[in-house]
Amino acid sequence: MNNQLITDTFRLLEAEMSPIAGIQLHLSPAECEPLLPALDGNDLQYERKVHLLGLYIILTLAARRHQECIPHHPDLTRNILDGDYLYSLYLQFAIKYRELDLVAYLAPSIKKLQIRRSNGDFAEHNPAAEMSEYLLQERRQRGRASKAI
Amino acid sequence: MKLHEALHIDLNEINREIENLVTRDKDVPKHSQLAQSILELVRSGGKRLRPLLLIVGSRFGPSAPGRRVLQLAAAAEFIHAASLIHDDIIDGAELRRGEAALHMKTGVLSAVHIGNYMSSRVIELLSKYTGDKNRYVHDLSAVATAQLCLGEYQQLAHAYDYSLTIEDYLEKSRNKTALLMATCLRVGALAAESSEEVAGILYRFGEALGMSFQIQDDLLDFTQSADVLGKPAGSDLQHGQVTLPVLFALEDESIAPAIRAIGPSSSPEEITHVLELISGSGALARTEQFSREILFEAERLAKQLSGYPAYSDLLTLLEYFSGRDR
Repeated sequence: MNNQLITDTFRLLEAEMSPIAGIQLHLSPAECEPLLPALDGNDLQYERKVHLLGLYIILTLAARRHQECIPHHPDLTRNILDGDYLYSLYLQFAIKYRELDLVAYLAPSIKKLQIRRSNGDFAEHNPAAEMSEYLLQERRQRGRASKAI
Repeated sequence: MKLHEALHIDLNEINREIENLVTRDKDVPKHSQLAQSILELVRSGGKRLRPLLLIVGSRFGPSAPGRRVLQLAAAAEFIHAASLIHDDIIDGAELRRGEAALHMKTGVLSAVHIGNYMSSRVIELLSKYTGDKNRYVHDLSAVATAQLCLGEYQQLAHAYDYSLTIEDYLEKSRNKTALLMATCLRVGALAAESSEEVAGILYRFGEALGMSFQIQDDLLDFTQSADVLGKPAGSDLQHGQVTLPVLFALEDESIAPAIRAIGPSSSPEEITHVLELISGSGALARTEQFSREILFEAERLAKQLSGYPAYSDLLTLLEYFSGRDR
């Protein structure tokens, strides 16, 4: 497990979040693990690994906060706002670190997740698989481009 | 005359584009609860202010407004409508535009995700605008939405906080309401390839309009009947929202203790009594004057664009937001 990468990612996310939101980011190292093989296996620079893991953490936590929106629960308002804020942070973070192609790639599946959940289907969703596919596709394209040169 | 008529904008065209966002989504079954509840919400009315602002913004660029502008206008309304769904849950509002709020029909958890669907549908559509020169389109769903959340956090943190300053109130209002309106004007202008300078002036103009709009909205809690509001008068006060009329009224030592006594368990009679005290205090007139001063600033900004044919649209917006033609 890459503890340094996870620590650096949380540090960056905390710096990016508005203190007004006051969100505590809780995601265990074990929950970050599904994305690590893809980050290690695609010849990525360390900084980019931090950004991608950051996006993964934000998405996972946003979906989780909204899944916990139970009527009359004392944290209902907090959970709605946290989820909303994290989804907008996801986009801001992606724009800042130039990962809009990833946003475009993930957009249909994130939308379908919301459709399923609005229908009461709360099956586990893990964006790691799709992020891995995206990185693999990107690597293949890079390979083709360098061959063409 | 209605605002869209005065601006010569075909509202039906905007409404069709808004509905297309859900009806043309191949991932959404036509008769699903999600599709039906979104269509009911968007068909229940609304002034479409944000799409109108975006279209007005597009009249300040050299490119003719095409499909892209219309789609961005619809996206702006979708973002706003999604925020209303979540707001109604947070506020415990049972009605929206006189009809059952969406979460009352679908349940809270489903409604939260229907709102999310609307936001994620916008992101899916805007994702096709790639490249640095198109980055501005994401301001709608990234920056403006984040600010909207921050405004809500601020409102939550300051519920029943009678030590709130006017600056705090203005910042919350800017985040909650004004910045999305400002962004609509700016995005419209940039979509029509205006200069950054013009887009920046329109942004500041929109921010001033939005601030005035929020202040006027806060005044309605004191001046309109429950029938007109679609919620009980004094609802903001009851929910601990310390708005500008309340802040001005708090400066009057003779009524401040009664206002400060309002809390989560205050009775409707206590709320009504304090509403009357505030209404009779001169705070409403001061609030009106404050709103007018913001609109003077908007007018000053608009004059910088007086060389454009669409300058008259800015005057129309000023007329509307000043409440003279609402």
